[in-house]
Amino acid sequence: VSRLVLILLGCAAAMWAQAPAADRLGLKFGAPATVPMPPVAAHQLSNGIRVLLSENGLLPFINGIVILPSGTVEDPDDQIGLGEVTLRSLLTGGTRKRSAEQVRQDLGRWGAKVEQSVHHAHSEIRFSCPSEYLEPMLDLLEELLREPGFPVEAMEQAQALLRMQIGTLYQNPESASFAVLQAALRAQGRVSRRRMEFAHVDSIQREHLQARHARMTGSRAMLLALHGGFAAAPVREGLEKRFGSWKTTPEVERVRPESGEPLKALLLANLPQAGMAYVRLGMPAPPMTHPDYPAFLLLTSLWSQHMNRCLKADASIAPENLAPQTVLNVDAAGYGSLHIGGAVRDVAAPRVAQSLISAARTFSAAAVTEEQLDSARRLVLLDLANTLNRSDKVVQEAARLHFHGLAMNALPERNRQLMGLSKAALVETARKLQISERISAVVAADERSFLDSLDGAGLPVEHADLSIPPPPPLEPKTDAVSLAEGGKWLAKMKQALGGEQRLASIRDFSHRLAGIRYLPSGAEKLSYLDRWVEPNTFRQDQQAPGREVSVFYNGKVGWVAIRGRSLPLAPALLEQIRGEAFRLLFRLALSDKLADHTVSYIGSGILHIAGPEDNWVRVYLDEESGLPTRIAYRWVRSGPAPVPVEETYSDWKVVDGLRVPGRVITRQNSVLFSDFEVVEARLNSGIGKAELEKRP
Amino acid sequence: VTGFASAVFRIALIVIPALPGVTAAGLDQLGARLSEFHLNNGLRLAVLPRHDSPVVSVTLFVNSGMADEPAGKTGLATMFERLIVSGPASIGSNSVEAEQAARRAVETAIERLEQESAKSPDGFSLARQSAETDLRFATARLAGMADPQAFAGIMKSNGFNQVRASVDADSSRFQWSFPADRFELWCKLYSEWLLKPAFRDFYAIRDSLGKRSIDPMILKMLETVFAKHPYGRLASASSGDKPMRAGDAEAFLRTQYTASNMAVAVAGDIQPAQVRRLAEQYFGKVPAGQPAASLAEEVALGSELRIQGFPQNTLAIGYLRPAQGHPDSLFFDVLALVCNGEPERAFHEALVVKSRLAQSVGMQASLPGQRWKSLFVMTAKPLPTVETPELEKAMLEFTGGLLARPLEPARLQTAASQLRASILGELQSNDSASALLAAVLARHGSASGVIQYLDGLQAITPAEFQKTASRYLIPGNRVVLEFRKEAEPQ
Repeated sequence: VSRLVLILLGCAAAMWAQAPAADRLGLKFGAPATVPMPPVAAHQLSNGIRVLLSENGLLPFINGIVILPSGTVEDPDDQIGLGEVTLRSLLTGGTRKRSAEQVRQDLGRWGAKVEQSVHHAHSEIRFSCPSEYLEPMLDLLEELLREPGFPVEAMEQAQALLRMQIGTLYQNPESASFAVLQAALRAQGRVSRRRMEFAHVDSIQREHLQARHARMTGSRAMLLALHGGFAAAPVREGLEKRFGSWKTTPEVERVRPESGEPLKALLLANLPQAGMAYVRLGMPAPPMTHPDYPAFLLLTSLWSQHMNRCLKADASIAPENLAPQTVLNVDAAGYGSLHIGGAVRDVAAPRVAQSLISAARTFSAAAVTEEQLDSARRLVLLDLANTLNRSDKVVQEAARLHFHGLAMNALPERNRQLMGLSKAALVETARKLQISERISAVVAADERSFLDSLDGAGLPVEHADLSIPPPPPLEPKTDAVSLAEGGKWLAKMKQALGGEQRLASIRDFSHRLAGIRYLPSGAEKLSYLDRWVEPNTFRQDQQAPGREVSVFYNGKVGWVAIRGRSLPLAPALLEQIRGEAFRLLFRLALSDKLADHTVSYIGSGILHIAGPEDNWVRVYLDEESGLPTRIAYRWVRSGPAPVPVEETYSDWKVVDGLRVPGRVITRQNSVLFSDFEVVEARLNSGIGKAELEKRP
Repeated sequence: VTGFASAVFRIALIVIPALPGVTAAGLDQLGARLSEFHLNNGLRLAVLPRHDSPVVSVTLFVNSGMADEPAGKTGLATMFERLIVSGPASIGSNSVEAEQAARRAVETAIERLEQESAKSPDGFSLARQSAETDLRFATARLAGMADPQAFAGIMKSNGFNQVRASVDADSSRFQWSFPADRFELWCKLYSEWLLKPAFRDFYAIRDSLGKRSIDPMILKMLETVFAKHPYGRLASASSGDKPMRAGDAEAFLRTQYTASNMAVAVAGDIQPAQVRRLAEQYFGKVPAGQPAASLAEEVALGSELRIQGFPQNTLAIGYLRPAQGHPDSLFFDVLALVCNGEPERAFHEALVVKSRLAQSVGMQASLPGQRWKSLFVMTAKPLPTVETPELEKAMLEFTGGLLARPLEPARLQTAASQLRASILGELQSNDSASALLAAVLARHGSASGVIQYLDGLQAITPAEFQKTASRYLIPGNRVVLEFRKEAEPQ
């Protein structure tokens, strides 16, 4: 969630100041130039919302940013990710006047782009479009901000994305070391050390989005900045017309960054079978609004050069060819981090970690030479010049700083400070920030492959907790209103499927489906026959070219048969087949008659049906007809991330008075997984349990 | 764009026609600020001054790529992605003449070792061992004649980002970003590289070259359509290759990296007059070279081939499209977005979602390059339940639909707006602006072609689109290739 503002690759550009190399070629260069601030006109709309306008007619193209006074810090402890889900849903779910599809079409027709990000204490919506579409773009923006549709589908898509993020947090040494170090560096901050969990994401409901949205957009602290080819006067009028009439609340109190005290330890992120290691060391970085930030930028450069020099000089790690990357990850208002690290062979990871820690401990600002200081100044200015190499980026950056209380000229002021910082000031800042002391380090690897034991060179060695709490089953709403509404909608579903009497008369059911399954290796033909006999015996026989599989479940246990051999069902497969039996549509429709089922209504025609063994499913009903258009559930397989599955129903047919879908399309993680047609369906054909139990 | 997409062919979407036209409203400032000129030796330069930040980006575009490699020298063009990093011969060398002599000794040793290895490919021989020893000595001697890090050190110490180099089917592009006041240094170093390159790592680079990996289906297509055309060389590459020498690279540089075959675009905090002065001072010495010979452009179309032995069944339909610079090339850029651009993804929707004939579809606007006529390719992988004729019929019906009636204005507007926004977006930053302007300048002779292209996008109408479609999306301009997984049963 924080923004990456600076990446220094090793010490690639670290010697920029050393002009003698160029002098040898007979060329002379002047002092480093600073990034200029383009002209920006600041206004305030009649309701207090701030607007920054920067005209630049070079191209008929506009870049804009809306800064909203709401960040991750506002996420409740049990709903980390709420801000992210809210903002994503706001931008992808359409408005009360335009559907999500219409918004996509409009943006496409204008060649416009919109993206969002949620930071520590604020959120951003950034957009771009050709100048001729600025008016409709602002209309759309106003609609999105004021009257978002927040359909459940958009919310669920946003939730699915966050679940994937959680599931991939520790998937390889590089990402695991990053996640562990970030957490270690914020170990002492109550809010910032929190970690998003599946349960947090699952608990987010539409009403939470609406409440968060009201806080996001209701404050006069909101800021809007535009840069590019437009005429300021009419645009200003247009903004007043669209946004100036909003009822706003007074500016809320600024969020104060937390202390950012790190866990001073070497953490082992043990990843069995990792195959390689990633070693990383870091320290907290002050927010960009902090008075010491310019000095910290210089220290970052000097520290990076020092680390690279030390690592290069350490003969014990020379065979590792470590190419360390330094990354400064900062936010305007939250504590950030400064990392250095790289990939190495897992056998050598303890040696590299020791070398990194020793190098970090020996950094001394007092030992910096004037030449190194001058070099660092040039490097930092060059980095700023490369990062802010377009005036629209400068305006956006200035807007962020301005939003967080700095003057509009904060950027040129930072340049000026950088040029004038003395060594004494630098030493003082290094002392205050305890550059060599406030460090954490991480080794992410398979510890069994280490040749040496892990030694923190003075730092205690600890095991990092890489566990991800599994997602709890989604609890249905149990309040009286939700349950009563659930009963009503279930009755509607029953009626649409053929009526309660018909559904209750089903003693056995079978359907044969044929179609395509999409696998990473390509599509394959597949057919299967599902057979169910009351009360809960279920069998599935699958046929693919060269492969036949049968799975049987008697309501408690079962078996699987492949190529003539049958085995008892393993827990994962047992869970899967139970789920299949639980989700038979005509059975779900009778949930109110089944003692272990609970039905509740969660709005927008959606039923939540919970059953035995933690099974649950969401049934999306056509609000007019009551027919299920799709169902959604999770397939929990090995690994931390459960796979969200969605089955879409269409081409309905009537079989002996029961309506059954003629086509079933399945998506896993929103990716097309299978497409089947129902080629045959039968009710009460006299299938017996013994027939189902017969092994192939 | 999926399907035939291959890392070997990076196809820039932006293709600029030399359309006559007036600068559209909104592009006046760009037109006024953009300068271009050429040196007496034919080198073309474009400058887009932008004083937002004290940095510049420079792109050197060479109208030469893999299709220009001499027969038997596969990989020579792509080696320049790495050869450019060693800089001019004078940097880091103790003595250029002595280093050259040492390099000749290395080459003699290599030749001897190659001869001895050919005599005893599997076995041990004293002569071979002696040749290996000679080579080790010669290489060590050469290594002691120069500091290989000297050039990189100068680049780093002057704030240059690492060069971004890419060589594709018919062009080579090199890009740098650095502090604006170092432009003269760039001119000095790279003009010298063009005249006297170091090529210190030539043999190491040569020996690390992997086999060129091109999708076998693309190879088959190139072989079928471009058999007597430079693009066809991409299909025949690797067969009959001979070991390359540093001299081959020098000869390639002399014939291809000539002033008349290159363009330079500079975007950033710099004045055109300064660029002109320094370019004349440094690049004026680069030989003009021979202008590229005109090409017969022999292609074979109208054919339908069924080829077996591929990993997956795929149907490909290619239409011959004009080279970059032809007024109709804009049509194909828009066509690619009309067919498969967001949010509609019409081609995918038609074949994968609605008719359920294909498991995936792909589209490539220009295969394998843009310098000459090339192919607009649509591909589809049929579902296991689908027969190829049915899929082919559906694909042809899809393109037929574009001929039968004018496109809905909103669909055309979406494609044109997205393309226009993407180009305007590229022009916003120094690096992508310099890359775009250099390509336009090299291929069209004028960087202001970008403005005409943007105008053209705003002017395109459904009727005009349909009219152009009817000239190209026709049987006589088409090749159909069916790639089958297994041999048909007899």
